[in-house]
Amino acid sequence: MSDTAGALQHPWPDLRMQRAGVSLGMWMFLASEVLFFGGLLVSYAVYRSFNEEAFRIAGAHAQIVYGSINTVILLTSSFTMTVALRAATANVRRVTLIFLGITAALGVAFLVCKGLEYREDLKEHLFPSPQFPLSPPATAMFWGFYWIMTGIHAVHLTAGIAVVLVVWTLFKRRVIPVQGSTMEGAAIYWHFVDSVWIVLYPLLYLAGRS
Amino acid sequence: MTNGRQQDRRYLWQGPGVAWLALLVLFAVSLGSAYLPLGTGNVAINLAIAAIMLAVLATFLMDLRNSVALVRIAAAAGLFWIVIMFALTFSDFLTRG
Amino acid sequence: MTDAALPFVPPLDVRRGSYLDEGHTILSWLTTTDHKRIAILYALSITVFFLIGGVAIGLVRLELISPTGLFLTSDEYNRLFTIHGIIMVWFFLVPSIPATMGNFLVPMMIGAPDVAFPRLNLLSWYLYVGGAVFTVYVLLSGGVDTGWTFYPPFSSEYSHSNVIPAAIGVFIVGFSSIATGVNFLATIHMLRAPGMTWFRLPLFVWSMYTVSVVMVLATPVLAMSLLLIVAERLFGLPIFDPSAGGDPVLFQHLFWFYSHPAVYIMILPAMGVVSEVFACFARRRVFGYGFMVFAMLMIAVVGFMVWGHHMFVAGQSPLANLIFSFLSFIVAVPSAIKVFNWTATLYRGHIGFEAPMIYALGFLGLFTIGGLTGLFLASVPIDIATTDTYFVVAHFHTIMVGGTVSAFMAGIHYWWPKVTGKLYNEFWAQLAAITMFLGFNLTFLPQFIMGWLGMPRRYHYYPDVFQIWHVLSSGGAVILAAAYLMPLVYLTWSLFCGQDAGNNPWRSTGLEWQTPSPPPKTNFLRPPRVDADPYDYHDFGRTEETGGEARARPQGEA
Repeated sequence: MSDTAGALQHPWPDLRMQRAGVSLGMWMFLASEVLFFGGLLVSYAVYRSFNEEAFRIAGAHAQIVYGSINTVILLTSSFTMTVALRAATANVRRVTLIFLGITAALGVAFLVCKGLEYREDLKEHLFPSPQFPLSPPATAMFWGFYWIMTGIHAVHLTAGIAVVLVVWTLFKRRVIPVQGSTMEGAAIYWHFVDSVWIVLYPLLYLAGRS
Repeated sequence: MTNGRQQDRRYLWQGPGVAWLALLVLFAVSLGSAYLPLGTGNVAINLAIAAIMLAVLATFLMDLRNSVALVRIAAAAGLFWIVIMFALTFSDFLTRG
Repeated sequence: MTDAALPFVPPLDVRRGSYLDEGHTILSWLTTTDHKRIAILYALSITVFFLIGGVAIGLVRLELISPTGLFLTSDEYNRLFTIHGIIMVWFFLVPSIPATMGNFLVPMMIGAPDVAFPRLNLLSWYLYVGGAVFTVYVLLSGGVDTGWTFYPPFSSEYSHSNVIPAAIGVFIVGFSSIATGVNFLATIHMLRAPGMTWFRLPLFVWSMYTVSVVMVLATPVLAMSLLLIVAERLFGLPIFDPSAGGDPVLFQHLFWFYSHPAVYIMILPAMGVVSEVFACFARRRVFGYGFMVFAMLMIAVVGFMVWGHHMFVAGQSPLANLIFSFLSFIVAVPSAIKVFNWTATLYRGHIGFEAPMIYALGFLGLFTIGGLTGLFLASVPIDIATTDTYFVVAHFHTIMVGGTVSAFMAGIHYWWPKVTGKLYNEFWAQLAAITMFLGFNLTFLPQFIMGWLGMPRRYHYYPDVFQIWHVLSSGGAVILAAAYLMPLVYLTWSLFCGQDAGNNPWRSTGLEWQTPSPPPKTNFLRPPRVDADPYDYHDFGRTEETGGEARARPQGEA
């Protein structure tokens, strides 16, 4: 009883409504994020539809192994995040903390993998500069999008990891109880970051495979 | 007693686990199909599979099917507006002389 | 009005005075989560930027008195009109009514103790300040010269000005918009008091709802468009570079996908304010409430489908031109419905000419003119001739200044007694309102004329034949400036020497007026029960006012 009391925030009349409110607010924020990435996606789509061959050539140089490993990592992290959320709602604190920790760790693993991949890409000079090795010129456009899309995704993922770590700490130190509304919001955001990758992966990694 | 608790605990990972496996299978199909020489069919299949993966993620992991209608409307709104952006932007680019 | 008539307000001994009495230190203001204090923080911030943006254009109008300039280089001229646009759009107009009046009034109008996410509300103000810091940096380090529209390839490649900090500043302040929008949507959906059904909401709340939908869905696309400019400029990523297959028109698509709905972000709140003012000062229900709601929803949705009318001559395909032109004509219909309904609200009302009403009447006329000139521009053949002329400049200023700023002033005056508990001096306010109307017309009617005659916009030097119009316009700008400074004086004066307002000096029926002025921190002791429609005034004529009390049923009386 006193456990949940600490979770209720002004001005919500009860915890159930607060959870519903946080969920609603977070989904509305997600709608805005969908449009944020949407701008990027429509730009990519326009350029790809006019430069099919160049995008195919450019896409063949994307590191499929790193990309695929990262996809599996993120899909798994969505699974662990869901387990953490269910545990939190059922007030199973230990499982919540464990699976939150695993989720964060998987996020970090993604970033490490990405960093290694970026290093490989830079070794091949796949960054618009005089040493850019590919032609025709529109291949540089593909690679411009590669860096922006994966970069912005990585920024969102980093924010997600930070949120997960902060939430983990707040739970661990019992600042807020696990069955409040915080877990809800964090989980929705995390799944969104995974969703973005699900869309980016085929666009960036499967473009020139055949 | 412990049996009861194990039953409870199964709820935590069973549903999500099935969804996760489904996502991995879909991912594998997408990746595999990319190596088949299908021309524009490749990107169509990949994007279709991505759409299915998003649906699985949203429905089973983000619990959209148990959400209030309002949350589903918010999710749909994001998609609807992105369709407007694509449709009207391409109405220009595809009809340039 | 005694406290006995306010059954849902905490009694005097409990409430420790008003929200203004809860902490007098600056820190208490900077760490507040009270929506009313946050509204005031915003009001002060946007006033500062309004003045800066006003000074910038004042210098431009002064320069334009002579066809060959007076004291500015062309480069300085470009930077001044650019910063005027950036500041006025993003640091004044977009936040103006939502962040000030929306924040203060939405919870009160729906019977809630605060917005859904009070800490997010405070964060939204800090995001505004963060964006503002970048803009001030741009101001102090020489400005930016791309125009507020940041078009590439000039902004991405050729400009030698502070494009990146300017873009970052706008990017950050955009998230302030999104945060406010999410907050209002959640608040209105979930925290309405018992009995406050959707169709009992005041039209101002509906306007805040619809504007929030637009803010949440449009602003991120602006953010992406600016991010791509920064990426191209900073990292050389060839997004809009034709040599790599890029298309600068793609930027325009992304930019205007936001910036057209942005003008609806600026006008929808104004429409909400004006509905409230007309109802109160004509003592009439708003005519056609349902249609008014439907119109705002339609503006919010269809407003997302017309952006290409800014690009008729940019290289867009003729088919796209046709589609966007057609949809632009459609989107005018709900606005027209609203103008008819406001007029019908006034018809046979008992109209009082207090300052809020004068501003609202000015809105009605100027919004109509601005809207009609918009129809001219929606027609592709006319737009081909008038694009990039002063006709366009006059059109959008008529809506944004004649429309939104008038409504903003109407709202400031209408709710001033609520927020501060003081009455302003009515004579000076009426004088300022009339001066503003006259100054506005002298400034912008000549701009319509010279635009039609071919005077290009953003030009520093111009042919002699246009000088008379420029001189008239600059003269009008002087009068307009005076009209804007007057409220600063008499409103500030009222804070120190003004008469106490009492709780409801306008005898309005709104729920926000059923509390003390200024209100206590918690707004209501418990959620009021609502069982009346809004604008519970008479259908015809003024109410019988014997004791100065309106016949309106006290909200939620048991």
